[in-house]
Amino acid sequence: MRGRRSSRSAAVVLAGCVGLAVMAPGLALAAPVPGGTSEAECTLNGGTWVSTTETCETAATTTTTTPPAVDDVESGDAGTSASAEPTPSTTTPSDTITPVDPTTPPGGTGSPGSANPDAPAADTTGTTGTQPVAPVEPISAAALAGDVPDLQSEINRALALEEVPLADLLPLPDLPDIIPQPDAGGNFENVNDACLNAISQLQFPTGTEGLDVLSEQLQGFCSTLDPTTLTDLLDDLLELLNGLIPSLPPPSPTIPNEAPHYVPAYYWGYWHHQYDVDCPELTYDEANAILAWDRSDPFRLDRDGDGEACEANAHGDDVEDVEYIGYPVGGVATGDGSTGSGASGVEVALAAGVLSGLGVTGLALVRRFARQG
Amino acid sequence: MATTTEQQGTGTNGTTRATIGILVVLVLLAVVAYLSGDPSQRVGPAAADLPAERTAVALPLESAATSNLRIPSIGVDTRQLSELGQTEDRRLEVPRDATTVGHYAGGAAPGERGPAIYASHVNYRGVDGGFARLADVEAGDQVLIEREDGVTVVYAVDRVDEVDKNAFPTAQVYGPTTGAELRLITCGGAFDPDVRSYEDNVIVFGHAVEAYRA
Repeated sequence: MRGRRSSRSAAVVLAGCVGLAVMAPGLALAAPVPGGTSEAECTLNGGTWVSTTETCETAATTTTTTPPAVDDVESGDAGTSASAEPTPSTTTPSDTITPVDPTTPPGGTGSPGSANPDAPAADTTGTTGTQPVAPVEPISAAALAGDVPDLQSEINRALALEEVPLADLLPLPDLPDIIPQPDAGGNFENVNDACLNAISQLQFPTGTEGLDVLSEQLQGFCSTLDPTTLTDLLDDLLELLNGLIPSLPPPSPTIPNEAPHYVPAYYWGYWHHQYDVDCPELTYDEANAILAWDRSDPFRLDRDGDGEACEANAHGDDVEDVEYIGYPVGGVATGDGSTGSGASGVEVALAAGVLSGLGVTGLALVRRFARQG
Repeated sequence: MATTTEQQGTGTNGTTRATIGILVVLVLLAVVAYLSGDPSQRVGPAAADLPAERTAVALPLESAATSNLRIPSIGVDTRQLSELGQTEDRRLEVPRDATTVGHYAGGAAPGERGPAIYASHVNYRGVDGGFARLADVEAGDQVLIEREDGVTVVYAVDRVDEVDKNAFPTAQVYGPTTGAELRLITCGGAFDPDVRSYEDNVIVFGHAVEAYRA
């Protein structure tokens, strides 16, 4: 009797183990399937069927690029593989840089590009990783001061605001409280400091949108410059601005109903009716902004009185070339959540079948032995 | 425990039962192991063997199109390449199918001064993308890009970042660089089903180590 009872408990334990073993991989397999290939399968798995792409979306199953089955079975794994963790930047802190060479003439020459006369040497070697660290030419503040106005004029050109009154210019927002300054010899300790100093001197018209993002991008660029290599800092900054400024949000075409404290210079004429403007001189947006500001239509831009100014300019005139000169904006849409890795629906069904077969066999065996015992 | 007690009482039956139990457990373990597979997605060596008799070519290079891209550590070796531009809303175009790797035409050519930028899907329409395993690349891994002029540029990976798409480091990815550099981009992080998009981008940063003609 005692043997029978103990064999029964053994059977229960074994059945539990088998059941658990059968269920665990089954559950693990069921979870990662991002959808199945039909709408029915998709909704059955708790996903959302997207008919346009014939894919199934399941939020919980697409958090990693590795097949989730792996993570699920290996309980305790955090999910994302370690290599996906952001690796610290390889840029070394600024204090590793060679101190300023005391023999460098203070002040520099002030001519554009004089900050890095040896740059071609760096270009021809091309490699930075394995080269011994050469003493880095310090960047002189005077050279920087000579070139920053070039950057500024580039900004003015890119934003088409050459005539903005100086009082209406503001520096980049969100800059560090302490901007690196040149030492007594007029040189910066490293290229990162020089870069930060240069961007802190840039001025943008009040009300320019997207400056917070621009500031973040420029600071990110400055901080990741390799302080051990020579670099055409100002040329690079110029290139960077050319790439980034076109991505700033376009200024709003609507002129507010009341004159704001700041009005772009080229609107003053319109505001004060100092001169006449006609449709050929305006874009469609500009013409309608003027009409929105003064519905009396002082310049007769809406001759047919239908509330829409310069209809003839509506198409084409202010459509820019599609060949953008700036950098692409924002992140890259490289994935729709449907993964081909892990198990397909058929594979899951097969695996489930095999496992349940095993489970049933196991249970039958256990019961048989239990009965015998 | 129970089995031991019971073994004492029933002799051979107990032994058989225990054996079968162990067998079942072993089979199940084997099945689980088979299904879970190798947890590492790194399928190859960090660096490939470069041809012994190769002629070094000085960097940086002039512009040339890409003909082959290899990342030995994650088993990428593709000639399925395309050129990418920008979409109407100024975003980086992405390849039209899952496995193609796109080169951003507005960036540098491989080996040219500046960043050579490649993007591929992590997955697309139920198919693993060209950069499905990009997040498993590690610093120090090798990336080899063969150009149509027969020159192969060897890059070393500096770091692999996972960044929020809303804080994409545009300046660091597309901005000017001192030498010839490399950027590989795909999606990563959590998937947002509402906008059918991953929240992050995985970006591999690398620099050219050498260029050669085989």
